[in-house]
Order: sequence, then structure tokens, then C-alpha cells
Amino acid sequence: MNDALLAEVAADVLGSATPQDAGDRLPEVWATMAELEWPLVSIPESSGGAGGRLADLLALVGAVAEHGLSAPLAEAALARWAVAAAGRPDLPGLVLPAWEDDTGVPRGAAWARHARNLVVWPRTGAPYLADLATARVFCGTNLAAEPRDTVVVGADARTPLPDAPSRSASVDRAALLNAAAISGAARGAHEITRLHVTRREQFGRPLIALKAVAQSLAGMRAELVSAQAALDRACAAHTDDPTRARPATAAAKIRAARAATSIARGAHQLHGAMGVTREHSLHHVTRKLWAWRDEHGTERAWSTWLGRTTATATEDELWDHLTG
Amino acid sequence: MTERTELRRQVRDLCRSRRDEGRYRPRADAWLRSFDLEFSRELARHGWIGMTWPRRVGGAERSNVDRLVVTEELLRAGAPVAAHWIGDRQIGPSILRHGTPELQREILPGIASGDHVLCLGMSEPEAGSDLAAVRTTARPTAGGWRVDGRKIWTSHAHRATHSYLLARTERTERKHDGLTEFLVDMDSPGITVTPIVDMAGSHHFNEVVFEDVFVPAGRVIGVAGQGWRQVTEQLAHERGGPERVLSTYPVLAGLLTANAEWDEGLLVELGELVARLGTLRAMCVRVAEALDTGTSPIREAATLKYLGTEFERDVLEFARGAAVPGVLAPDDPLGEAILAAPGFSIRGGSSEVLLSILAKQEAL
Repeated sequence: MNDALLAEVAADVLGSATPQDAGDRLPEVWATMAELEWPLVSIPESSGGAGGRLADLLALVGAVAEHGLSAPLAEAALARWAVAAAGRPDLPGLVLPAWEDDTGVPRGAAWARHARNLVVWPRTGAPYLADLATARVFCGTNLAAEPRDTVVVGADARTPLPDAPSRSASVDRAALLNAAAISGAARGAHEITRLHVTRREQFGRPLIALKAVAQSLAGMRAELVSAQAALDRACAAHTDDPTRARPATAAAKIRAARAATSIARGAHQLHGAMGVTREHSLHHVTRKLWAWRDEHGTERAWSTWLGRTTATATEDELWDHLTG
Repeated sequence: MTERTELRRQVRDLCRSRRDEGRYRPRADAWLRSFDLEFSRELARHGWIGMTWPRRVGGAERSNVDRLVVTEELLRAGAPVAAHWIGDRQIGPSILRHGTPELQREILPGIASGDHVLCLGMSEPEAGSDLAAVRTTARPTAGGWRVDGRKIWTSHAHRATHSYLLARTERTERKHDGLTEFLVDMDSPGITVTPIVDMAGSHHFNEVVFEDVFVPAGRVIGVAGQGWRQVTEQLAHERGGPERVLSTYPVLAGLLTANAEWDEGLLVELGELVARLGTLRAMCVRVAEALDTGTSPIREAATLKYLGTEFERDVLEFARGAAVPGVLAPDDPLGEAILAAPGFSIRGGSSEVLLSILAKQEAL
């Protein structure tokens, strides 16, 4: 699918959906996304996927977030990528990913209450498939009211997936998808704000006629452009050169988190008090920005990793990484 | 090894060997401050000046992405490149786009060989960041123009063979109309160059006074009176290069080489900076690719410069924390860079002006 066609289809599907808090239900539009096989995009057809590039998947994830929608697209796509690699492309129902924490329990598992199966990565050892039919799921939510559950899986409900991607590789891909989602939500927040300040009049003229307002909006745009450039670079690394995937993902995640913080701040500042109400649509994107920026590794954790990697490398290695 | 990787290796090797021979000391902001005509001529002999230009004018007909490989390796090395930077980056391409074939034949081969040194006559004392407010005038005369006016912040005018000059040739209602671009021989009668020493004590800035200077008709770049559009395109070349990101790279490289003690706070800062550097460098590639497809990436270049100079400033703040504390000498690479830094967010358009340019697209 070419970029223009992809954008058109996405706009068609997403345009009719209304942002609302996820709560306990999948959004109605999810059925359409699943039918169109969006969670299978970027998985080769020969492995049971829908084909397409990783960039296509990131564009779809970004578009869902830009519309302020809560749907487990990034998560389902990650899980499907893992089970396809593990030779289980035929699993029915919703399959989602989860990571065990230090106590050996999958916590903060996105949308787990809706899944038939989870792909779980333990701290060490091979990933396994968890059948949720007999598992106990403790419901929780993130700042954006999206499901983030804790799951207790019995030993007999686990099937090893020795050929699934490693925890490290799956974290990298999850962080890349997360950066795409953040960029999308940031784009949404910027656009809602741009429309607001060009239409709303105060002091006898549109807000954007005030220099401070125009410059603040332009500063948000610069952050957006930068986050997108970092994302594109990381996408290229995942596609072309897996040895560069982790540092490029770190950069994308760091840039996305920074853009999330400054764009959410700027958007609310430029909306004034009306931006903090439940009625206004702005919170559907800004609450996601606040929630997502710290998921799949905080900005600080990724920065520390990239800093340590740089400090222990030679200048030649740093330069090769930058220009590779 | 691809051709591009090989090119990168060649530039790297040349810089290293010249540095090891003691020919130069790596410096921050080298593209403005570190002037060595012989070094520039050596680069010229390799075909690394004017390298995107046609062969008929001394170019190598390579891509802007190849040129980026060369420029970023030079900046990485902190090499002395100020003698050719302006001509190669900005004025040469402008003459190539808008100049007559005669002007191209007359000027471009000399830039590509490192024999012509160009300086920029844009800013004026009364105009500041507002280029359209230039007061220098050129009035038609037999066979050409007569120029009167005063230019300021003209780097290396005291060493330049030619200057680019933006002058008003008509009084019009819109101040953006009636501007014309010229190329002027610096040995023309009526030109006076006076040094302006910066606060670090270094002399690269000058004031240049033009008193009834004759400029032949053939030295108009493009169309008389239509200079504004040409200038804004030219500024995309000025703003969109890696020098907006890598001017302080030698400081960062020095810290890594010195194997400093890194506490966790510093590691976080370092990681953040490397993330931004990788991103900005990817944006440089995009600008170069846009130039290769023949588009003029004005907004992209403005965004790059805005974010790039912000990054450069943060590199220096980081270096203050990471370097050995104590007395910092003015000729220490970090000390030099700190004294040079106020210029980063001014030259090529102040951050405030760049934000205004970016803000214009938001109202659409």
C-alpha cells in the first residue's frame, strides 16, 4: 500500500470514531481495525501476516493516537509479530504482549483483560504463551484510563515459545511502537491547539496574532518535527540494520518523551482553562502523552543507557553510530 | 565499501594526518574561526569544494548528501575550513542558480579551487536581523552600478577576494521589493575594511564601507530588484547545514577522548544529547536530500537551525559539568566555545526570527 492510500484508509476508518475513555470495553472501531488486519501489517504474508512495511504499521499506530483513540493496535501488532516468528500465526482471538517484573508477575499489561492469550517475556529465559482462560486478571489503568492489568498465570497455562524474539528485541520494538504512538498523539495535540488559537479571538483578534502564542505554537511544531525525524531514523534502523536498532530506538523514545512533555504543556497553556475540562477533546491526547512517555522504559532509563553506551565507546564508535 | 563510505574515510584520514602533523588544532566553531587557505586548497585538490557543482565550473557533480559527508567529517575534526566555507556553502550555489553563464565561468572555478575567498555583505548596523531594511544602495551608471553603504559582522572580509552584497536598487512601497544581489571584487577602489574584535579577542568580524564603488553590470546575481526571493532561498543553504549542529562537536569528542568520570546524572545528560544529535543529524540528511531533488527546504532548514543552536548551547552546559572543574582558559577548546556561543543563535537568523518564520505556517 502506498503512503497516500494508507493515510486515506486510516482517515476513513478513524474519522468516524469518537474518542472516549477506554474503560472496560474495546472501542467499536477495533472490530474494523482487526478486520482490515492492521495488527498484521509489517508481518510477511509468508508468516501469516498482512505484508507491508514497518513504516506502514508505525503510521497506523500514529494515526490512531492522533485521533485520540484508545485501542490496542500497537500491543496486538507486537504480540502478532512475536507469535508469527515463533511459528504460531494461527492463534485465534486477541493476543497481547506482557513483560514479567522482578517478582515474576506480568504487570502493567496493556488491555490484558480482553486477550485470549498473552505472549509473556520473563526476566530471563524463553518467552511463553499464557492462556488467559484460567488466569487471574487484576484490572488497573494508566493516566489515560487505558487498561493496564496484572496477570497471574498458572504453570499449566504456559506454553513455551522458544523461537519467539528475545525480551530485549521485543522491548525495542515495543518502545519503537510507543514512540510512534506518542508522536501521533503529539501531532493531535498540536493540531487541536493550532485550530484553537487560529479561531479563538481575545483582545480583539485571533490568539495567534499574539507573538508569544505564535512562537509557542512554532516551538511545539519544532518538537514534533524532531520526534518524527527520530522515529523515522529508528524505523530505518529496525528495517535495515538491527545492530543499530537499540540506540536509534533509545533516541526516538527520548525525543518522543520530551516532545510529549513540552507539547502537552504548551497545548494546555494555549487553551487556557477550557483545556482542562472533561468536555474538551484535548485531554484524549494529552493524557495519553503523559501516560505513554514513561511506558516501555522511562526517558531517564533510556538516556542513562544511551549515555553509558556512549561513555564506554570510543569517539569513532559514537560517530559511526551517528552517521551509520 | 561503498563510494560514500570511502569518501568519508578519505576526509577522515586527511584531517587526522594533518592534525597529527600539527597543521591544526581541533577547534569548536572552526568553520567561522579557523582560517587556513592552504588547508582549503588541499581540500580543493581532492574535489571537496563545490563538489555538487557541474564539472564545467570546477565542480565534481556529486550529490548534496555526499557533500554532507565531507562537511560533517570536517566539522567533526574541528578542521580549519573558514577560508572556503561561505563560498562553498552559500554564494557558489546562489551564483549557480541565478547567475549568468559568464558570471558562473568567472567566479565558480576560483571558489572550487580555493583561490577565491568569499565574505557575506548582508547585515547592516541599522538593520539588525531585518535584512529587508538594508540601506546600502546601488544606483545604475554607465556599464554597471555605483554602491554606497556600510556592512557589518562581515567575517573574513579582511582576507576575502570577493564579497556578496545585498543592496537596495529601487525605492518601493514593499521593502522586500527593489533589492539586488551583487558580487563585488574586494580590491575595488572605495572599499574600506575595519576589524571588529570579538569579546574573545579574535578578529574575524569586520565592518566594510562602500564609497562610490563601481560594480560592473555582469556582477548582478539574478534579476535586479528581485533579490529577496533569492536571499530567502540562499538562507536555506546557510541554515540547513551540519554546522548548525556540529560546531561544538569537538568539545564533546574531547570529553569522550579524555575519558572523564561519568556519574549517573552526567550519563543521563550525555544520553539525551546523543539522542538529539542523532536526530538532528538525520534532519541534516533530509535537508541535503531535499536539495538533491531540487527543492528549497526553507522551513526544514529553519527548524534545523532553531533546534541545532539550542543543542549546541546545551552541549556547552553539559561540558561545564563534565570537564575537570577549576580555571578554564580562554584558549581551551571549551573556553573558546563558550565565548563564541552567543553567536550560534544569532548568525543565519536569530532563534526568535526563526520561530516567527515557523509560526507563519501555523496560521494557514
